[in-house]
Amino acid sequence: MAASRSRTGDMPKKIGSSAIMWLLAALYGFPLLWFVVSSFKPGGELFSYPLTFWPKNPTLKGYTDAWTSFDFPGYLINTMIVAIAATLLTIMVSAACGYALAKYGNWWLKIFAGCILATTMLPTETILAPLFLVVRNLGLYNSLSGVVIPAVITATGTFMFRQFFVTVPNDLLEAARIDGSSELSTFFRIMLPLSRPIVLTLAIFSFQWRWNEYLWPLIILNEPSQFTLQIGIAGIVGANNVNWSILISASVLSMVPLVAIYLVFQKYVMNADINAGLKD
Amino acid sequence: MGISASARKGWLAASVVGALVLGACSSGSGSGDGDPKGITFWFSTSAQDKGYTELAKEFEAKEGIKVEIVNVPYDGYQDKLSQAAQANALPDTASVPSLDPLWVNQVQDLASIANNEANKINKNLITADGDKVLSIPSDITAAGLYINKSLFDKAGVSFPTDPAQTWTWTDFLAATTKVREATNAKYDLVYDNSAARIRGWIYTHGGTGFQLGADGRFAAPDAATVQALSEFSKINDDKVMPKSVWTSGQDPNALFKSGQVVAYYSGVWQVADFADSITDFEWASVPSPAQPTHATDINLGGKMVAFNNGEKAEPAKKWLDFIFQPANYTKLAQTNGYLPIETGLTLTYPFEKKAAQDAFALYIKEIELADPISSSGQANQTKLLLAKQKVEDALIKTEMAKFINGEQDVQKTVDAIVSGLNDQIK
Repeated sequence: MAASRSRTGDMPKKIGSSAIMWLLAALYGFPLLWFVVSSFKPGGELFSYPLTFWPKNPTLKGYTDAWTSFDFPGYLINTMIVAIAATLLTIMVSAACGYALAKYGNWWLKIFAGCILATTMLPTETILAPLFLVVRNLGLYNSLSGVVIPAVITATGTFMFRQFFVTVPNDLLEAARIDGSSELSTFFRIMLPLSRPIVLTLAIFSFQWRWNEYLWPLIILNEPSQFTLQIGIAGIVGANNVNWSILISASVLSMVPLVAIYLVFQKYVMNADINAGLKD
Repeated sequence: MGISASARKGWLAASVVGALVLGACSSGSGSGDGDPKGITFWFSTSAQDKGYTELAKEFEAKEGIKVEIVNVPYDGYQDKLSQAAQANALPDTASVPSLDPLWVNQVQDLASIANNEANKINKNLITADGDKVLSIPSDITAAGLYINKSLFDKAGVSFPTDPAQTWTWTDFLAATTKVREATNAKYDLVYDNSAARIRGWIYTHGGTGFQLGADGRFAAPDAATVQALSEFSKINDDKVMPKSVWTSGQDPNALFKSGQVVAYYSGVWQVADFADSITDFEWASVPSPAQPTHATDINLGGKMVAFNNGEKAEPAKKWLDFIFQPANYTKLAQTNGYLPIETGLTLTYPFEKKAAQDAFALYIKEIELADPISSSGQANQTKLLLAKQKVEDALIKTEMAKFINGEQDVQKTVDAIVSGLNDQIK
């Protein structure tokens, strides 16, 4: 009874809030839609006045030019390799590290945590030069692994996992130990599966970071055969001129894999808090 | 239990895949050094790349040396070069936006190419340290004035077509105002927000701009420069020119392409873009006004350098020598749409549009007529480079924006520019 009363009472509130949601979605979505629609306009229409939303003479020329004017498929594969490898490693390392920070009490772990946290306080540009020297001395210059490896440790990922594992009751850990489970097996068989929502959330973030990374790959990679997509796309923007129709089409193409990944994983992100709940 | 076991297997599989992928990509590293008969050539362009690719093919056929052409994005190119210098991984040859004191000691002397009489290279624009030629420009760029010809025709207003009989800024602005009022266009003129382009404004008004003094520091500019900057600020009144271009970064190229603006002061490189992407109206290149000085801002498309990379040094120089042989350079300039650094060439640019063909003829003539001050920006850069200094002039844009916004007066703007430039000199 109480439920039905509150439901009718909530109706206007619900309509109001969903109206705001739709408005926000439209606000964010419209420029993107304009962008996608513009990718079908020929160069001469992009800046014509008055502006029109729909292309008058729709064309795929931007797309065919983008695909043929540089090695789009090759760059796509390189970007995939970087993004997937970096994401897998980031998740492994962040989960293990976050777990240790949450569940073990050694004094040096606290110092270690401080060090990781400190990396978030320096902008990338500051650590660019020292990082470059390390990567070069490791012999990773001019190779895709030079792009992947520095990206593996992220403070954000580590602390996402740490915060999550702190909420997992110690009883669970002790029960596992009493049952004779080794530390590694506890981590792999109990803790990691529990943290699935964090894994997937971080996977989306990490994939997106690596996908959009620009300056670091540009500095590390020297050969066109190893270039990532962002480098290829930036090549369209010259010192004085921008070839807008190719740029827009290439950007739309480069967004597709990211959107696809998000669509696949989004339901897990939405479920982040529901599945993680443990009854104490 | 079953779930976690399979999850564990999944994790193992994932890490194995990750390790394999990493292994695969690290084994590919360093392959660039593998080909003993090949050299690399880095440059940056948004469109003009075909000329080099074609020349590289001919060069390989003739000399048996393969040139790997790498188009590096402009944004970050200088950073990449300085990091590559640290890693001992500079390319064998390159066309760079500017020389960097960090690696300039590693370039080869190109004097034999620059001084070869057959090449007829314009020696005023090469970068030299005494007798040593550090770089030769790939091409010349200059400021360029464009008009919306359809609007001029509609208003029945005429315009000069010969740089030798050009107009004054007063005549030009009177004409554009007449056109704007007759056609209901929005603005007379849009003007690129750039330190190089404002030099053109100062020089054509008889000023000498911001020049290095004998002591190697920037001197206070002459009265004509100060006067010219005041006038520039005055026409940013949202009628003659939109304030937004110089104060908040609106794109003048897009404004002009919209057909709402009568004229656009930019650079010669716009020709190729306009030929392609302006379809709604007729455009034309017109001579830059002279009030009274006939000037422009002469700049370089790229600076060609060959690095001293051990056994690659010789083929690297051969490649540059090949590029600057007049017959080859003619092909390069035509295909890439370059204004030539070599004189006495007969060039036929592959534009279909007559406006584009005319534009190139006009700019080549305008550069020939231009007062020597037009290339002083480049000369200053060379002086600073040889003194191992790096000075960015982007602050001219910020200080001018403050002036146009009424935050400071002209004297304060000029003082801030001079001291800002000098602060960068160590």
